[in-house]
Amino acid sequence: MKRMASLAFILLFASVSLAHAAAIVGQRAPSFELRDADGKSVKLDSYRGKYVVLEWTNFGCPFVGKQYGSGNMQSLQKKYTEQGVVWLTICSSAKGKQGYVDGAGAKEGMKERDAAPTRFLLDPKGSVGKSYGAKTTPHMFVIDPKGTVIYNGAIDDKPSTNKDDVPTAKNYVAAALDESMAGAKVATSATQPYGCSVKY
Amino acid sequence: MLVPTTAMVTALALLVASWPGAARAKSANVEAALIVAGDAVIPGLPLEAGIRLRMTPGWHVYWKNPGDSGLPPTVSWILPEGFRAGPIEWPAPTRFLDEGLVTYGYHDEVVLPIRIETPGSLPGDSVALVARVDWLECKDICVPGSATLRLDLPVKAEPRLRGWASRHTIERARSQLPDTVGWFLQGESGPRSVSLSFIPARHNKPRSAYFYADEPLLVDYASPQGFEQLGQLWRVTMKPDPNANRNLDRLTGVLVVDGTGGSHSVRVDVPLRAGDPAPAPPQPLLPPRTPSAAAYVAILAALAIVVALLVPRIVRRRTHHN
Repeated sequence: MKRMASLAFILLFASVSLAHAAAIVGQRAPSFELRDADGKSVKLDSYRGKYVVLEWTNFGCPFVGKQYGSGNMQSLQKKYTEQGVVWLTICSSAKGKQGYVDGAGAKEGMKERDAAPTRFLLDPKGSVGKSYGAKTTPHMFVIDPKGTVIYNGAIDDKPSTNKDDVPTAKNYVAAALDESMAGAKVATSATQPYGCSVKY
Repeated sequence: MLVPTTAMVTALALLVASWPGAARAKSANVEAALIVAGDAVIPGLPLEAGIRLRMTPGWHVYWKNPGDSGLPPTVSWILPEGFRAGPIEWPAPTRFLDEGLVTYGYHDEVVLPIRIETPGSLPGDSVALVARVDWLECKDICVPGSATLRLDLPVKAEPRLRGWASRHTIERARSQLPDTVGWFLQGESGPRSVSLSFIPARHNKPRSAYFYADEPLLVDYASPQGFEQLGQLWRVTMKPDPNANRNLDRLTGVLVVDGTGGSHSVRVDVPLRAGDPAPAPPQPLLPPRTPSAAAYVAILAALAIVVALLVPRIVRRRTHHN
């Protein structure tokens, strides 16, 4: 019996360590609970019934700079939160690494950029980032009101750090939200994200 | 449809002629150079050009599919009328591991060969080639880099084959490009893995192999690739990306094999057949370590010091004995 238990433990451990966690399109979005910039606890499950956008960020990353410097990220945040979408900006940079912010730093960074997410969440241990398979900044996820992942990938189809590419790029997040809200199937539901690596 | 007028062509020629810049430029961590394998343009003959990127140790740039993060270098040209630059011909990349993420690219130095077609006749006695190169240089952080490189070349009827240092650099880079023929290659895809079976072109017993996929969202870059021998064949297996696009009907990329005969690579472009290949035993995420140029220099320097210290002693002892 003891042997069986230890074998089961080994198997469990092996399967956990080998599995790469990820948010898979068509499957339930991994649950999480994180503190926001004000220190308040935020649970993903409390937003059930609403569309949720997850935006991985690092204010020191030039790809994030492209989206905020052009004003694109802020206008997406404003446009969709006005339509009832919950927009969660998440920073998974570890302490001491590029982009790491505490609550005050996050608020200052948002103020400087006139950013308007619903919340800015702090994930310095990277556990939520890893459970979603967040690889880059930005890396975007869209979750529908049932809690299903409907988009996982790049913010748009122009991988560059050039602000001038923003106006002519196809924004995958806007497309996924617009299509799903109109009752249509999301045409492009998974892409390879581009940007800086998440500084776990 | 835009029809080029004489005025436009003249304007472009003037623009090219007056474009400032040197054949070399440096960002914070990368020196970019536009090089050609010759000392002149021969009308009608292709010009073998290349972008050479030299990186500060520890920094890297990316392959055409950068993997989990990053961005490949791009080149846009301003060339005289009738010149046409081909695409970057990508050397086999290596890979980098960063907090569980795997990226593909180059460190220390890379030459990206590009072939430029030239017109059969040229009016002037010199031409200017201008390349705007953009790249992302990364270590633990990433910085965008760019350079506008300009090379003026005389127009000549005959090539001068010797005495041009860049010629060797470009020929070597071309000779190291992945093979395009001679290998047996077969791709298979199923729910458990994507696999590539192969027999190398050269007599070379593979010890390890790694497949760099062109296509995004095909394989999970951060999972180790499997490797095994199956009779006459060798096989690499890869874990599919959890959001993989299942409609791919071709497997394209570069296979790098390390074996008894050194490291060899081949360009892969084969049908991807449906199957259910079992994952092979996993290999380490990072390639087998080969000492870098800097390491060789350090080893040579250490040897030189040892020799410098020992030789006088030996000589002294001999003198003493005499």
